[in-house]
Amino acid sequence: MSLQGSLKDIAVADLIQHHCVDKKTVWVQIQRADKRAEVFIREGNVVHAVLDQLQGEEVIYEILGWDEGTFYIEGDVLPPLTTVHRNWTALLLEGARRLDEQNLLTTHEEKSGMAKMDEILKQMAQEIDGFEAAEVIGMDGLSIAQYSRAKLNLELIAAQLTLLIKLLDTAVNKSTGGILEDNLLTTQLHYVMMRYLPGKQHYLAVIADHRNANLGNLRLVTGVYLERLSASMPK
Amino acid sequence: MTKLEELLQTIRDELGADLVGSDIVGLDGFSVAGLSTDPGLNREAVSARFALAMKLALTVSEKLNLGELEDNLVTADNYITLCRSLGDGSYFWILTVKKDTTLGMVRLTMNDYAPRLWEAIPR
Repeated sequence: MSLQGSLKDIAVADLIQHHCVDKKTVWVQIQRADKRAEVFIREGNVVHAVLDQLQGEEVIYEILGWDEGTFYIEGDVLPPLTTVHRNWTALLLEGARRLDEQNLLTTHEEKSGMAKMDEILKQMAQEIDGFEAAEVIGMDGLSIAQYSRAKLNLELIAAQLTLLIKLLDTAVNKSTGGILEDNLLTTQLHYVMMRYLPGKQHYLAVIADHRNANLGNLRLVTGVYLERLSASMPK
Repeated sequence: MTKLEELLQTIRDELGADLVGSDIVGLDGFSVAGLSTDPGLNREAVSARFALAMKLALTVSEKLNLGELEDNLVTADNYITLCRSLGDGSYFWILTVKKDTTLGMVRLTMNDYAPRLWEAIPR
């Protein structure tokens, strides 16, 4: 018996559970990018797992978090070793617990990263004359951090400025063959500075009052804070 | 040489080696007059693409109640491109300069010449 498929269609936990419940003896090979894991199930119990230099239960905990990749299952292949001693239900429960813990940690890190970015924007505001608002915006047009002293519709600003920076990016690339670094929009009432964060997945937008802002200061300060924002970006 | 071309030539002389390209562009994205010191600069593409970007910048300024658009300054790794509305906004002046140009000077030059360029556009 052999079977192959994608992890987009079936989760690793379901693959293991299915063969264990049916008391099968199978060799499961799972490939994700350049990583290849092997899991041996003998008569409905996981008995051996290997991933690069790693062997045993830790391999199962690692691959339970894989949601992309392909699998290939071959029946009636006996394990060369026994490195897993827990029964399959305990293995999957422990794996689920670790995944929950990891997700909680990631969410907490993301939240604290964003709060830190809000704080950095607040500090930056103190150094910009005529400051009105600042946002860190993703290329999907959604703001991930913001600070405002004026009554502005920050959601609308994020969406509109993203359209503009995308078009300017294309204009620069297709006409001069260059790479856009920043853009300054000057209107009668405001300056709007937009600067990419490294990786160009997000950009910083700062709105300042035209009458009170100093253009050189605006360019200088946003440049300095760009690095701090980038360093505190949630990974 | 038309009045418009004469003015663009004067601006070129003032900015010297810093100037890369200068075009007066209609809302349709076509240049009505221009010059370039860099044969590698695709003036047609610059005019068309930046006219499109300026139109969007006008819309964005209006939607966000930012006030009337004065200009847009794009810094890229190779050039700096300034776009400025002329007169009633039916034409733009697109000026491309080298990256190490003194920006303050370029903006002053634009302030100085924008009204004269607008007057020189044949109507």
